[in-house]
Amino acid sequence: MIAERRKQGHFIWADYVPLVLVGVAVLLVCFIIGPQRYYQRILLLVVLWMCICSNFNIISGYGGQIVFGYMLFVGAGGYTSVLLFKFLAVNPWIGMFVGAAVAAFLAFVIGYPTLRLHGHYFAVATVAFPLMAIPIVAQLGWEEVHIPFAGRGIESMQFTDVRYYVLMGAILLVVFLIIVRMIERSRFGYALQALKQNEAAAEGMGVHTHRVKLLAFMLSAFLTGITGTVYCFSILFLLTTPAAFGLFIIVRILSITIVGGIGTLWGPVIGSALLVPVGELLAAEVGDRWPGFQDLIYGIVLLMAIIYLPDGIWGKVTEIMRRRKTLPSAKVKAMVAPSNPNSPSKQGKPSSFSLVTSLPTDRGNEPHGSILRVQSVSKLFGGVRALQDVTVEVPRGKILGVIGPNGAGKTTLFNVMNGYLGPEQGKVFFKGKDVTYLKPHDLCQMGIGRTFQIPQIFNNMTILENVMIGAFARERNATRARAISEEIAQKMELTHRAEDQAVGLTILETKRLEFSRALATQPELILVDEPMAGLNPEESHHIGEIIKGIAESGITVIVIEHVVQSLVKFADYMVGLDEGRKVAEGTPEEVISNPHIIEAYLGEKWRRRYAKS
Amino acid sequence: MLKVNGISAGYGGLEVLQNVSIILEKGEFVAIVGPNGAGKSTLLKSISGTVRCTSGQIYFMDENIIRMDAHKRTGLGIIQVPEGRRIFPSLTVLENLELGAFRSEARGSIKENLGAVFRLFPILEERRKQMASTFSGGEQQMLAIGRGLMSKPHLLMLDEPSLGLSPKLGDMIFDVIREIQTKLKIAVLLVEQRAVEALELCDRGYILEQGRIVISSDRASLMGNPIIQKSYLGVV
Amino acid sequence: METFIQLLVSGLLMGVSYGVLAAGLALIFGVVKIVNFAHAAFAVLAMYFPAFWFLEWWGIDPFISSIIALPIFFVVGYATQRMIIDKVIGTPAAEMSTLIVTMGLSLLIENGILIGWSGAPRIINLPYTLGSFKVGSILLNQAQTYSFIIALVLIAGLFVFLNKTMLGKAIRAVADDPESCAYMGINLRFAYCLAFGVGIAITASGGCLIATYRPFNPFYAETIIVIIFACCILGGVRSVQGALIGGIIIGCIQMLSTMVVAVALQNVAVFLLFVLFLYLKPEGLLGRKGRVV
Repeated sequence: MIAERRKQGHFIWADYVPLVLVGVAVLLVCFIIGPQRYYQRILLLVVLWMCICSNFNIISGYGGQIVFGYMLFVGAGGYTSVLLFKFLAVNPWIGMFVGAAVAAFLAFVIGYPTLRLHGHYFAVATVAFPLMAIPIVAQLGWEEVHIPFAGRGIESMQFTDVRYYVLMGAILLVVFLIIVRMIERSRFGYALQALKQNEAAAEGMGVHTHRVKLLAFMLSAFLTGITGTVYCFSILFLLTTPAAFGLFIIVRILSITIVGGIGTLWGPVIGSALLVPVGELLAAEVGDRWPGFQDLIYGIVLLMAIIYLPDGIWGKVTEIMRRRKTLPSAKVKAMVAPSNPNSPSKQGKPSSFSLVTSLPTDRGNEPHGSILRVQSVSKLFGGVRALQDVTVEVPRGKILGVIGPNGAGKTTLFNVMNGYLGPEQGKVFFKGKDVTYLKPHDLCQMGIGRTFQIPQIFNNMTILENVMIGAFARERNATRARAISEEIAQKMELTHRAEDQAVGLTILETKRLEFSRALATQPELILVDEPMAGLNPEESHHIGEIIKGIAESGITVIVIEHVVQSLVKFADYMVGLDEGRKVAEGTPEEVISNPHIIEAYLGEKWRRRYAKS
Repeated sequence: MLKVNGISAGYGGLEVLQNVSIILEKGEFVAIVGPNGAGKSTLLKSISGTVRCTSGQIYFMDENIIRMDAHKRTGLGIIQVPEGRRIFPSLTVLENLELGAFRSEARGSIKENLGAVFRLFPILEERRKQMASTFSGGEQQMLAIGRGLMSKPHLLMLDEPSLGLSPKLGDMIFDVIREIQTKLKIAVLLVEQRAVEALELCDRGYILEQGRIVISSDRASLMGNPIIQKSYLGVV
Repeated sequence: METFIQLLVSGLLMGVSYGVLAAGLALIFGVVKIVNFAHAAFAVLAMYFPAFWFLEWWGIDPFISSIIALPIFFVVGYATQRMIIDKVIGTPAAEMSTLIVTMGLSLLIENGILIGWSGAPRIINLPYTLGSFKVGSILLNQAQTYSFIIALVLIAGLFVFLNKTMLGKAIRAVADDPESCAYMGINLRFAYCLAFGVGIAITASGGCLIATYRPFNPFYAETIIVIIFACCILGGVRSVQGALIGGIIIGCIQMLSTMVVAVALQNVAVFLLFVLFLYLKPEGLLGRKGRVV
């Protein structure tokens, strides 16, 4: 029942009540502990680390961009508010937001160029900044800043009783968790998680990856700036550069978040509740004999976690829960539908696809009724001419097959059509408009969809959610996106598994999911990249039927394929490439008897001896 | 000598080979012909171990090697010259060849093997101190084959040696391969797209299509057989 | 002008030691394809053991220790790769996982040193620490000069290993094309351990050299790690020669920047340069992608 209401986009209280309960639990513990300052302080630290890690989770967990220099924002927020308080007597409540703004600003300035880097380069770049901050801040004379105690209670965010800080922390935590949950369920959140798993595919699905990453980065930084302020005022009495910008901060954040479950809402909560008390008690116990023992343990925990438990505790729990869910239902389905789900549908080709929302039938200025025109396109790749003066006109509503031997330029042509590459010469027109240098996400919004040769499945989401990523390209509203996705899933015979996680799919299910996702972007033109890869003849036939069904509903299809003998059975029209040039064009019959094509595929000797002219 | 029994293999979640079986006797020259994407490379890689099989057996000299690591299979003398040459660009020609003799059985006879390779490919001796990345496609292919020979193979597997080469260069490479086979009398498994060239050299051949063996026969029956053109380009 | 040359010369002498550390990092990055965050931590570990402690316990000169460190840290590096890093290579998120693992390792080493040998800054006080040679009007610090010579010997040794031995050529091949190495019978896992071991060994040796003229503490690694990254990036990340040149350039920049900014800020100039290169020219000054030597 809840699932139904969620589908309809109603606000589900059940989603948010547990979060509030966490805050209540914290207050309960606080109450039970009583006035003992020592334990209250540990509780406060637990809550603060939950906050920082939740913030971190947005960009690094959900977004998958692990920011190794994250402590910059803790320090930025903290230092800003403390310095404003100390030297300009600015109220810390205001200073807190100023600090957060400073952190967000830094995130923008750093993130804009840095988020274009990937992997190693990105991670290492972010580390330089906090390490740079330390000597600069020290040089400005703020290596050690004593936070003056004005003793005005709530006015100056300075309470003698730690329990008020715990209350503050609990409220902040609930707010942060609510923010994370809202992100999870929103279009922004889906885009974030998609780009984490596969950035190129996400781009092809219409996600403006750079913008999404930057926003997530700034949001994380802003919230951390707030947490940093609270951390300084409630824990530190002396603000020092190592305490604010030290490497140990990121190691602790990583340990806690990974142990709990990175990219999950409960991960930081569980991780902090587990590690922080242990860490603090250890530090108190052996700290005088063995300073640094706590961080040593965190280092070891981080090592162990990433090797043996990379999904974290909550990740493991959800995996077990999912396995339990799919097992019995799979058995049920096997009983109900005894036919092999792998075999092609007995009814023949799937029913044609009428799109849920009617597309604007704006045909633009198409001179010859062609929906896409590639004009004299040339592309160089490090000295190799991948494409040389290629012109292709794609008739609307037909299936165009592109063939050619390895290295002929087929994939390059696709990438140019799709916006991943820009040609050195020539232009691309879509519905009469020049789209030569537009990016994939723009073209997706305009109506060009794409499937990938190796299906890019987002494993951490359900099948339906995978399709929804596509739907979100042109549909902002989550409810309608879901409706579109469900309809397409039904036509693609995936409904029986729509709510299952997208793992362990058969090869045909994977391909059908790939098509579903592309169709959900409501394309007028769809680029299909080697759909027959890895299929046997029966399975190839089934894919051919799917493609025919798509074309019948009015969507133009362009297919690259190696398995020519399958392609000739359903293509209306074909183009042959060899060494970057177009060497053949016409009906399938014409193209496969073209001597250039025969030579390109079978060799010159075969053509001379055996090809019928 | 080599018996592949019903193997299935693939990568990235795709199953490229389905229940494929081939046989190769000592000293035989067998060609595997078929269109792109048929799984020819995957078949060779399954034998050399760089691709894992999901089912089936592979017997080499009566030993089942299906679970053996790739670098150990070279120890048995199964040597593959990979698709696209894959020579080491930042190493010199000489260093590339020396590395061919990395496996312990081959290290003892580096000098003589080098001599043999240089006789086969004089240009390699001439340019032995040059960095391999400066070589043209045809020269790189010669280097790749030479490197394979340095490993003292009992079974030499060649993956599309004419790929990306002009017909003339391709012919030259095929001549060299023929010479190798007649002179050194080793078993050769050749994977090729150029049907005629491959079939001319072989004793027997297999046609591979979409992961399955379609025909297996001797050279005479395969040459010019229209089934081959249908495999590559289909009929309308 | 004199100050300029003086600083330049000091920069050159020190830069070569940086180059040694950077060479180790570049080797590891080129072959194993991972960024070793713990790299500087290993160097600092070597500053304590063997450099400092062998001197304290048995009066062994740190320059001798720098040679002794080679086999010791080869084993340490080999074991680290085999037992820890190997477990995350080849997993889907390998790039991030290896970074996280090495970061954890870094903290582990630093705090291990802190617990074992306290946080007090250490200095090696031998006659050559403060003594200088006089060449014209330029003063050459003796410790730095000896380090310079030994560092060059180390680099030469590394070159010989990579270019003249079968194993060295094999790991260069792995850097070029790890997949094809299986066709030669090269065991990839062994090659990674070898490369990591050699990289760490030479780094530790360089650490001992640095210890002769710089004070150090358990967290010194946090200062040097970005400097080493900068050296690598300047020279072209996978290139050992490049790392050496990068080291020299960085050493000079560090020294020369003291002419315009306070000494405490000399690293900021380096960090900024590092970040700029990352954005604008990640293939470095030498610009050769994918070449180890």
